[in-house]
Amino acid sequence: MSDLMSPRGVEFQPVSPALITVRLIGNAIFYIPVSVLCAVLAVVISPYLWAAVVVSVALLIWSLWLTPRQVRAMGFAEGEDEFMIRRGILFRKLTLIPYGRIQYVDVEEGPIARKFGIARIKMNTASAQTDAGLEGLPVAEASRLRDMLARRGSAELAGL
Amino acid sequence: MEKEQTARSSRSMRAVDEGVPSELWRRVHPVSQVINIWKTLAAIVAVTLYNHSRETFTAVSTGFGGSRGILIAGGSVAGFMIILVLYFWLAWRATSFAVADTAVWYRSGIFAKTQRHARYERIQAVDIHHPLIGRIFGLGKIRIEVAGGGDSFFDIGYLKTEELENLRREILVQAAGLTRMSQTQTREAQSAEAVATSEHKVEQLPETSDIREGRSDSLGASEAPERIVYAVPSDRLIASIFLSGSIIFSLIVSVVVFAVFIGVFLRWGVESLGTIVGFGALALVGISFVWSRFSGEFNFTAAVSADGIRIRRGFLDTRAQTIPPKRVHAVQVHQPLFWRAKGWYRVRIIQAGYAGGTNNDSGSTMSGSDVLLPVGTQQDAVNALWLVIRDLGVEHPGALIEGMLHGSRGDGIFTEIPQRAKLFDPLAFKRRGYCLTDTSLVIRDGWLTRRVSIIPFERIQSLSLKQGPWERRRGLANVNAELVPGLVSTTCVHLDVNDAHTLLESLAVLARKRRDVEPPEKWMRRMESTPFGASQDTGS
Repeated sequence: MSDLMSPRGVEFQPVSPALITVRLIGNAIFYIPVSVLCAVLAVVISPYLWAAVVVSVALLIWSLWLTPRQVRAMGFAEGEDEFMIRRGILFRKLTLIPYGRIQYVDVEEGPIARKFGIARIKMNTASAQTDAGLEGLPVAEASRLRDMLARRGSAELAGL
Repeated sequence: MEKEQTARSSRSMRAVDEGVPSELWRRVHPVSQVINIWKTLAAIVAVTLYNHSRETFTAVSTGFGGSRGILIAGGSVAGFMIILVLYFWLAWRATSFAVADTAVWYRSGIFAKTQRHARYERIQAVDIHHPLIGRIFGLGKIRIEVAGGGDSFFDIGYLKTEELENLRREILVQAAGLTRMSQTQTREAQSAEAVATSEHKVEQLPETSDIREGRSDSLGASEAPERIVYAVPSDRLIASIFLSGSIIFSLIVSVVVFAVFIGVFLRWGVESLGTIVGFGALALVGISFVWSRFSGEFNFTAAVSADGIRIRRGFLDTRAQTIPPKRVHAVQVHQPLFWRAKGWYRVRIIQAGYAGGTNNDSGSTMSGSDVLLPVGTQQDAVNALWLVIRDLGVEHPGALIEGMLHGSRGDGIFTEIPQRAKLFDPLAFKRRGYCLTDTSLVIRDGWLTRRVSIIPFERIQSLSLKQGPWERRRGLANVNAELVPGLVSTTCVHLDVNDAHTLLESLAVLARKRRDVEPPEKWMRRMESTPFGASQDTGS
């Protein structure tokens, strides 16, 4: 069932492919030093530590394979009354946030993401369960969405 | 394509600087960062001095003369200070706030930047607070609170006390233009709504319109008249406590512990007292649980009055709590296994503002501010439901309630989960299901402990649909309704994918409709239509 995660008549927009690069750089920054460190320790202390090197290199390769797929699976849509976010390949999730329920919108950008001109927005409702972060938005798009969401959020202001 | 281009052209600009004209951004006081991390700094200094106490001592006693070690130490301290000052300066430069037309903005972070804004109509509270070290410099913070789960506030600080007061005034003036109107309208609309809905309510329920009419003349300091709807007799409370699963379990544990304790004492005599103390502590945990439940829910009465549901409870320390019905976001009725023979139920609610005990360490069953009925007969449970849900939205509420409390597979009221789900839910399979009424989503669940949640549509904050790999293979999915924090389960588990899809779509539509119908929920639309809604034009 491929249409389970896409409500009728809704066109989902993908996030920026730059997010793939950003995430991969983030992973590389973590895994490469770890691998190198493990390799050094393997030489110095015990050859058994090569196992750790293999594991961390394998994880890096796994993320090389997984990240592009994950990012391509992310999408958002501006519905008539709800904002929709879709993500996940194996564990899939679709979130609907009515505009009137949005209490505030956070914008975040990390150092790597800024180099690639993307940012993350997070919509917050009165519920702590609401999980409505959206990564990999081009900066202009992020600002536009923030303003749009905040505006619609107060135009349709719903109590709690 | 176009997006690519905008992305490239906007590469130089930053998302976090957007949204507010740059001249509106204001800085906080330069020493803010020092105050923020002074504790860490003091700790570092103290640890360093302590670890090198001898060197320090000789250095001080010789009047900082001579030794080369001191020079190196001094140099490194100076280097550290320079780095620190640089950091402070960068952090200070990156932190700013703005009071704009429609919202208060705040941004921070040197490398990873965040921007947050609170629109005036969303602001719940503005607090000024002076921490100890801030007071020394005459500096304080201002906290802006919006409704939300988790970290729904931000602190702007530090600022001079005078600036703080001005800032607060500024924010409140901006906010008041929007909220003062909506408050009066809320009050009018609420009473209008209360009168309107008092006609359609569940059949067998007490009549209360006489009490509501008493509202207008009881606006003074005197308490509004009330009528007791139910009270929990203490023998029933005690019996119910001893019939709950966890208590039975802890009783068994206590008995075993006690037996071991006697055995140990007889075998080894007085020398074993040390071990016995340990066992005793274990037994005390069980006893304190029973006690806190008993004393917290002793003499429980619920009454209805003009300003809400009044609850009184407590054995040694008594509590009186008033719950405005408009604050109730969901209800859960549940029945532990051993209560089934007695026909008893427990009713819990989610209330905005009470996080169901999540922010106090004793746990919600003990603090109990989310308990509407600790233990009661079916009639009590129905009355409790009626207190908070005026309209179940079905023609025959009796049948629905019967289905909620006792029903299982095949009673035709609830939409059941498909046969395929039996693999995942061999036990709860029979009860699991949901029902959409005109006003609420009713979720029935539980195997040993039967439970049912009732969620009025207009309280749903957001919706989500989830599916894992195994569920996909069996054509199942989960639908979750997200509410304000609380202890009521709000997930419809393992629905047929088509049902899940329909449920999600109809919930979205129904929630929208109910939000439109509910009078206090659409303030801004009304404001836009009034001639005083001029503040809208200045925005954006």
